[in-house]
Amino acid sequence: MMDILINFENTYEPISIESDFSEMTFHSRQKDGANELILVQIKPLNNPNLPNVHNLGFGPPDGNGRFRDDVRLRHADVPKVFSTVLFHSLNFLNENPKLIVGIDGSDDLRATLYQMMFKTNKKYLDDFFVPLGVDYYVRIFRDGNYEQDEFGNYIAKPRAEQFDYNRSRHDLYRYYLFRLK
Amino acid sequence: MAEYKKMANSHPEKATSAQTKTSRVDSLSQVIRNKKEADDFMSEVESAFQRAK
Repeated sequence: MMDILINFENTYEPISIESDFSEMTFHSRQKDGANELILVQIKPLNNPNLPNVHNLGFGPPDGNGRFRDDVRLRHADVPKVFSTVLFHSLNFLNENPKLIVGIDGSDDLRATLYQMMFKTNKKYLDDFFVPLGVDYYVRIFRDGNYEQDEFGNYIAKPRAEQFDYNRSRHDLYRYYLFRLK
Repeated sequence: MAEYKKMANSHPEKATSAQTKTSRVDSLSQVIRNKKEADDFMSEVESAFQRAK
């Protein structure tokens, strides 16, 4: 997997930005030469108990005001795409310094990209952000059974820690958080 | 920041309209089931941020 080197001096120009910085769009050139419109969203979670965590995601607009994260694009310049998204996040946090941005490693590929992005760019990003990693755990009772809900599903609980840069791409966090340094 | 906003304002194209919360089911939202769990988690997050500084 290629290294994603973040550089806030090399980002795509925004096409639109919401006044509260919750959304922005830009064009990402694809390997076939086409320009793909990318929508970046930083939105409150669907959980009223976590008002200070906003989820970051991006992808092609789905036509309903949201983005698709289930399509595989062939960006000509992947580092520039991630630099653009993170630069927008930096501007969002500058506007909302008390908020925390969260990234859901929704599948292994995305989680690997995010984990390697933080790891590869530690020195660069340390000037801007403080990152955390979040794992999910299930409690084991004294009788050896795992905690379950009434439907028999295991009850996972999150645990946040300082981002461990020694973790490999095969030891991914489930969720990533960062805020302004 | 001002330059960033200015860049955007110079391009009238707009791709989105909905002012909504994220539509997808965020995994963190799923594993925080009540306010106490949220408060405990955010306390842990704050401590981790402080240690990481």
